[in-house]
Amino acid sequence: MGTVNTTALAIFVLLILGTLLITAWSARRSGTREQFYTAGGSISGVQNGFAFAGDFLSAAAFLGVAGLYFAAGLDGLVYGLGALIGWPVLLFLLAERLRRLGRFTLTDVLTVRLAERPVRIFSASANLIVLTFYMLSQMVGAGLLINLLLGISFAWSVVVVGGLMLVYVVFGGMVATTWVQLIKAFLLMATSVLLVLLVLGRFDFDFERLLEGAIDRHPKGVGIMAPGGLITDTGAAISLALTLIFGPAGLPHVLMRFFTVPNVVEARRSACVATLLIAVFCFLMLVIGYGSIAVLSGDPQYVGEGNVLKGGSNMAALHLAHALGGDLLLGLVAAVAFATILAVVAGLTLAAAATVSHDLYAVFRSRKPTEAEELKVSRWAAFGFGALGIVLSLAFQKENITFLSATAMSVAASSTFPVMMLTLFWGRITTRGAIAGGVAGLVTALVALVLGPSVWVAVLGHATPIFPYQYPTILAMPLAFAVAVAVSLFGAAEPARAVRGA
Amino acid sequence: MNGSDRIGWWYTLFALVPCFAYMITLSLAPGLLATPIGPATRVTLGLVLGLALAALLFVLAAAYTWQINRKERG
Repeated sequence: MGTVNTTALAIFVLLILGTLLITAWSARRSGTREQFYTAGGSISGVQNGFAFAGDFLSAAAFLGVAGLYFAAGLDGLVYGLGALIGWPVLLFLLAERLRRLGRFTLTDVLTVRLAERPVRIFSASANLIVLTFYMLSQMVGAGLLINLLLGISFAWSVVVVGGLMLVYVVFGGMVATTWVQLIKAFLLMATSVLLVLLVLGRFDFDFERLLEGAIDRHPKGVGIMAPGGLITDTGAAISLALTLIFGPAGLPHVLMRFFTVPNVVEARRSACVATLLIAVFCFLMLVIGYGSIAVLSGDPQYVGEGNVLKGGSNMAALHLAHALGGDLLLGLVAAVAFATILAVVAGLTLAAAATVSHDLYAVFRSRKPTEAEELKVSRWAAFGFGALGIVLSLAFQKENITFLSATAMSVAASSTFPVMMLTLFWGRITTRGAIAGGVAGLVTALVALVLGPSVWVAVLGHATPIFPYQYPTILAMPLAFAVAVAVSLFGAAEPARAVRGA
Repeated sequence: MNGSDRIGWWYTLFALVPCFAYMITLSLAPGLLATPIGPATRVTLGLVLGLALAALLFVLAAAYTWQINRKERG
């Protein structure tokens, strides 16, 4: 690898043509604001479940987790479960209320009870920060992947990804974004099943033999069957758990999907389908992860000194595909990984565009914008966010992408999630309390991230971090709740509105 | 808080307690999770419990969706 993989290129081109056809078809169904933001509520529960799963099964969940299994064994399972354990909160607590109260964006839900202008400004700002971090991680990952497989420069790689996602969003809106996400989720699951069958076939479909092979060939030996050094103490474990469980419930591009189905019954069904798909994916990744150890370890074609993967730690799934099926399977897996990134960034861009046009633009206008004006702003906002993503990913191309996506989850869990929970479930929340709590969580999360090991030590080169944990959620999330409750109870009185449909 | 909210909170509790327990056991008792589940196997308790957690979350999601959607349809 490192030279152009023509099979991968051919499959990339086919995939891009297919998704562009979907966009052309969707463009005729994206003329109104309802259609552009939420597909007019026309997506079925099962379709939306696949799209939900697609949002969660990002490049990090596929390439990153496979790499983690290869490096550390069982720790890969812990991070693989990360995509799953956020779903109980989403399904059991939020799905019904969000579908009943929301229209286009997460902020619509908050303004049902709280004063519109300050809440829109806070929520839109927090959402844009979360979406930018998340987008950055995906764009950097996409740039590295295309650069590695097609041999084109990182800069051109992110321009290609940015350009394509803009076409999907600007012309196809939520309809195209959902269908691209749905197809990608199906392809990712099908490709993973194929990899699992091929790798198990190498070991006569005997999982115990596969594990024996992995233990024999990995330098850590039987250590790959035990938890390793990724979670070092209880505080770090709790902070990671809080991030993974509550972070998804604050991600705007995920929550927006609840508005694309026709009713609450379909909203619940979609979350249930997504849970099933992600749970199955966890099982598949376990076999792919340990299979990559058993097949690749010690093979000089794929690993260097110290059993380090050639091309970087995210290459385990791609190397495994090459080892099992040559250039053809590598091309297929690479194209699916590429589609994964494209679909996720399209969803992020749409959420950012809706945030700017629907939440922010109206606040700074003296009169309510017309639907046509809002759609126009939305499309320009998509361009702006896409351009920002390209520029930032060029600046942060050396940054650790796991850190960037974890930052997004942590900020979401510490800012929008507490505000949303209190707004939906606590009758005494006030606008001042919500804003104070949300801002406290947001600022604390960002400051603690800078003072933590990922920036203070890894980037700035200090010997020890000021804040001990990689994820600041353990501090920032409870603080956001506490400040919001305290200001609501002891601050100046203000009328709160009853929650419609609650 | 309405009836389906109450049910939702119970399901959340049933889901989150095992999640937190698993994560905390990873840090407090990694040796326990490294224990093989039998004398003739390499499969460890950590692996089995992790997969059981994934299965549990899906079962809870399916049960909740079935229960509440059925109730809603009358």
